[in-house]
Amino acid sequence: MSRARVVPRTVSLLLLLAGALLIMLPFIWLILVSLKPADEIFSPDVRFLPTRIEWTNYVRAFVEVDLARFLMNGLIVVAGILFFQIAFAVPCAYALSQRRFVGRQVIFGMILAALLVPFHVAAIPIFLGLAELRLVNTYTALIVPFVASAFGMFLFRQFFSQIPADLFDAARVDGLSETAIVWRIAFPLAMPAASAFAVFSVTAHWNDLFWPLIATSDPALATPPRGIVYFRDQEAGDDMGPLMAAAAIVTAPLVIGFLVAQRKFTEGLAAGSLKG
Amino acid sequence: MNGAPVMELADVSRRFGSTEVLNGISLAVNEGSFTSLLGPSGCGKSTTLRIMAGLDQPSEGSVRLMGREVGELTASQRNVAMVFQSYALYPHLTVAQNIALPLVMREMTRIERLPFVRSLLPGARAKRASHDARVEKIAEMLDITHLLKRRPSELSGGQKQRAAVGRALVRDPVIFLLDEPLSNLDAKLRVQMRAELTSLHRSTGRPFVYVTHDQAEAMSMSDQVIAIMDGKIAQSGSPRDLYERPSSSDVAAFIGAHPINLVEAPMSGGAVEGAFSGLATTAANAPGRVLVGVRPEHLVPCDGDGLKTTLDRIEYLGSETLLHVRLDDGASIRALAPDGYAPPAPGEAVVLRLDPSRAHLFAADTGERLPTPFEGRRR
Repeated sequence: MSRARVVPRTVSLLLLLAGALLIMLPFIWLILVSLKPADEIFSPDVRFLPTRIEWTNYVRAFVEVDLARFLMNGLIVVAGILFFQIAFAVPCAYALSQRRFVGRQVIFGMILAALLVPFHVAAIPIFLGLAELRLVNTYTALIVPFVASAFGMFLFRQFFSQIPADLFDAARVDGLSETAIVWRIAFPLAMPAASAFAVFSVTAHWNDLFWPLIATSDPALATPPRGIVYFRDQEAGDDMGPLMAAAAIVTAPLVIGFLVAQRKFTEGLAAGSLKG
Repeated sequence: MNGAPVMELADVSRRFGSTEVLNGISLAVNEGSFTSLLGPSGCGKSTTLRIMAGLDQPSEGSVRLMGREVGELTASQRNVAMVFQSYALYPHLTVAQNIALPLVMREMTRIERLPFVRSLLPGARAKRASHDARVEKIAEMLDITHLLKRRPSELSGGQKQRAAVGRALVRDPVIFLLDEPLSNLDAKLRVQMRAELTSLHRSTGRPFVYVTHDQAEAMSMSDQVIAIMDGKIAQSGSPRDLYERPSSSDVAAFIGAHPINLVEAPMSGGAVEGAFSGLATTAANAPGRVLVGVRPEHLVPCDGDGLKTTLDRIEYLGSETLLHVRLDDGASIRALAPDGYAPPAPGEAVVLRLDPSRAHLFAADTGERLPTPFEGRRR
């Protein structure tokens, strides 16, 4: 590489590093605090690195509250939501993009409109409805409000409308029913879109504190963010070390998952250049 | 060769909203026939094919397959096979899986098709083995055995074409429907695939319906050509019929490697006046103006008497030379000189010989064919 290119490259790399560091600082602080003994966390002078590493914070995170249970609940809720979102959004998107029926444009318009409405607007009516049905404090209450995802329908619809119609006609000639076309042809082709959607859905619902706080009060149903709050409710006051350790544990699956699926995720966001 | 009709359309019309795409199409595709639907793009030939396939429903009229009304049946219930212009191979499946899919859908139960069950149930395993054997056989026939494990994105245009044909062949359909299958291939491969499709047609013995806008494909492959223009059948018959007795000036203009010359001329008492005097129609009430249709290959330079023209420019094509000439009244026409012809300089006079039995007359207003005294003599 010539000198003329080294300098601008080094500058842009340094700028990127500085930006990344700024964004990662809270996470780095989180990890560091989670490894510090209690007396060091509240010491008046700011010390960046712990003098000795306190692993017991992580042990106490699991012992003081039922963190394993929270993680399990998170998994159940997130998987349940994703499963139903895909089960509903994919056929709906296929119908919207490849079938001709009365009211198609109106329904698509309604889906677009639904994208604009924040969940919080509907939260109270949904809570009241669930209360009437005596479903508050159940997994159902945590999953059902999210199973119809306007965003998912929109994303898949955009993806399906780029698949050449010949492909679906060929499938019809080959004897596939419309349902079979959805799951055997359309869905496998939409994998990039599906994995991008999965990342959005899983992060949103794994990290969601708002709805679990409203819909559940039973600690046995708490999702990870809801569970972390229990550290603050302890009579002994805020227990920072284990709190930070629990937060680190709760964040870890998403970070690891994203690193593993990074390539697929960016592919899905750039999706749309599908060629037969 | 031509037996009982396999596919019949009776008075089929198709409207999309207020636009009429097809208007009163009636045709029959006989056992063992190779029928081409020929026409310019947007004329309704693909819609006709989709109605035959069951992918589209006619607004009016009936579709019969082997004498049975099939208007309500789906494509797979009709057991027709279709090859698409874009090949329409499933990108996420290998070539072998692509070819086997029609068999899987037809012969395996819903449970046997489930991802993990199929390797457990003995019945499903036996069916899988039989599918594999049939796919293997088809692949051998099409010479794509070495490609079976690949995905469509790893194939060239010609290989995709073969895989698509394989998927059509595998379930032994009653009729093959091909929608411009060669138009995405390069010129050389197209000619080669033409020959392969013809021999495939012969070896399967099934009727083929072939949609194309390329008159050379239609003429060279089929025994029946149906020319469709503006949603109506303009003419149907053997390639020779369409070439020698086009029913209208539109059909005449569409058929032929070199576009036909159409020159407007006055007519009185059934005889053409002007440069083409000597041509006449036997029609009872002949119109006042006609279109004289003469193919360039039927205008040959000669010595002595004939059509007097002035040479504008030439196109040397190797085996022949295309002459652009001007009639005395200024109309520009084309003539074809055989190999070895030494053309004079532009601006010089060229005399062309015209065989009156090869000239066509069309009514100038409707474009309809007018009978000539030679009608029926050449067959």
